[in-house]
Amino acid sequence: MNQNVPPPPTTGAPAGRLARAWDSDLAYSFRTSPVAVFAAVLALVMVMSAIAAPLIAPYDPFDPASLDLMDGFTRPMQPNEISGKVFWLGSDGQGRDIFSAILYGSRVSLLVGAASVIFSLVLGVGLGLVAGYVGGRTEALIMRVADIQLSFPAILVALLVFGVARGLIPPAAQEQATLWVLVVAIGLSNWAQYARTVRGSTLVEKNKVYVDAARLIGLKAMPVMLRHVLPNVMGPVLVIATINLALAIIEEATLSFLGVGMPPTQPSLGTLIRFGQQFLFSGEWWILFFPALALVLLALAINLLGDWLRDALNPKLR
Amino acid sequence: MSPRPYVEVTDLRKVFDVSKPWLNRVIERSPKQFLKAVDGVSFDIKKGETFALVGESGSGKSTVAKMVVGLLGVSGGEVTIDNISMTDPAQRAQRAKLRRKMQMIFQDPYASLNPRWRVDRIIAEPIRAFNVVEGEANIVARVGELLTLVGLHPDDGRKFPHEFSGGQRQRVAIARALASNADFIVCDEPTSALDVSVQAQILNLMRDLQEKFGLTYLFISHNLAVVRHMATRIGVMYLGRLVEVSEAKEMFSHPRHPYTRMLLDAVPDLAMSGRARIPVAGEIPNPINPPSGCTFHPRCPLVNERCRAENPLPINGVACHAVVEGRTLLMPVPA
Repeated sequence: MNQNVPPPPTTGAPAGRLARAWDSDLAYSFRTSPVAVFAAVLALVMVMSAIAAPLIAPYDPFDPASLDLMDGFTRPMQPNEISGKVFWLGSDGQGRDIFSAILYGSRVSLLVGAASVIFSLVLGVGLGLVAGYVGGRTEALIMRVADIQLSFPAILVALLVFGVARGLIPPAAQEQATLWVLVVAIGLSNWAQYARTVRGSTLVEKNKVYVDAARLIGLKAMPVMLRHVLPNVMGPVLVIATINLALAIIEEATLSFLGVGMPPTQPSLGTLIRFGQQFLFSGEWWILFFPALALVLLALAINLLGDWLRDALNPKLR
Repeated sequence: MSPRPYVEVTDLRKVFDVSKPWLNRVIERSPKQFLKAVDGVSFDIKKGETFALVGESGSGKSTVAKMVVGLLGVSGGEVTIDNISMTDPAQRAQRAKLRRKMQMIFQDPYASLNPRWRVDRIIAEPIRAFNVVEGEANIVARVGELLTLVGLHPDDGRKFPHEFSGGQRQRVAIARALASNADFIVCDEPTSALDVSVQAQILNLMRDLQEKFGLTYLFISHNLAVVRHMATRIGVMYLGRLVEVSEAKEMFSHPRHPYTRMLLDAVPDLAMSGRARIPVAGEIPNPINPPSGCTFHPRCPLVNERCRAENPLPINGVACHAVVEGRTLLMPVPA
């Protein structure tokens, strides 16, 4: 019911802008789509709790002093037989609280996901824009590289980049750099999709005469691309970025699961799942189950949002 | 010696490479293909007059317009505006100054305004680019002035292009063209995308502005009624060539080239005068593989052997062997 409250009276520019945003087609489509609202709430809760992890986590899973081996393998919601401590989602073999580890883990996962999406977005949109606008050999070169890139599974590309980075970075700095290596590895394996989409839209936009009008007043290629073409090709890119965020998080989890991702000192959800699966057959199911559930929910929420955004921005489905 | 015309176009040519991709050519052993979109067009425009280019679709009108303003490179020939060459690479610096005096109004008002920009930003863009007026307050004032000038309200500047009708958008485009105090405006079918009722308003606005600011127009159109309303002189294009150039009144009363005659006769005649007409015969040929000699010969009622073999050069503004030789039209009298 709360959602049907009329917008506050418009006074001044900021409130007016809010009201306009509330009245926009996109906001209406959002309000009337229960799936979108559900996904947004779920995603928001998970993102907020990841950001606020140090505040809400009951234990600090990375403080060795607070860990007690006696707390190991505590079942969810049941007091530990020796210490009597209760872990909501149980604890792992070292007595680490799974719930806290998930909070910190989703922090890493989200950070890697978001950063790699931004990285591949900037790279892909930039290259696609140049390819579409300049054309000719530049376009052929960029798009053939993208084709080659797309013919490899993303995970293989990421593994390759990761391996090369391992060789280049001195061992002492490796643990520190892992997160950024992951960002680059995942980012480099996903840019081609943006480049293709943006090139396509750029080819359409650059033949519209408003681009001619801008060139007529003597604007150089760069300002025309950035000021005129770019804002008009960003719609589909945002949809891809949202869906890719979920994919990037899963890709990071996959890499971590394979053991080439985040180290155990800074575990992501994928690292937690890798540890958990060792205990799956010995009955300690919760060590695997809850991090996996968190990953699924996070990816699901973001994917649902992306799907909704794609439909909402598609004029043919209105 | 009379002053040089404001715009001089000499032997303008544009050839497009329409070949298949290199790999296809190698595999299919097909040669490169070229399309002569504009083939030796020459005309000049005096200051303050409206020169109209008319012709069917695909006759190269818009290509000429784009080359004149420099949006498209030329394959040959020369364009000179206000004694500055648009085609000579050595005059790049002078051309930058010319840019602010030269604007264009496009055919499709739905595509000529950036949909993500508010109208005031669209109109202010040339003002900022050329530093026509300094200071944010002055720019806002100038934009309001321009909007009023084209019959819109200064508050309309806060709107986006999609909030306007086609005619209103074309007014915005005109305001943008005037923003840098341009005095030569190329109008590429400015009314063909508009409702008939709105066309007259826009055309009258353009004429008023021409009188007020002494604008020079290069007016591209396929609509003879519009051209009659606007033009001082008219050039008729056919398949990339200029077949006739004459004073507007003269052309409508005494068309000389058989193609001009055909175009005029195709205009519906409400009076049902029963006057003899040349019926429109055939279609414009494929410009990749144009007919030999005079490109109009397959459709011309006056064709003879010379026309099939030899390309006529313009004499007194008409490029036609029949006119030069005095062959007249023998019209079939309608039964």
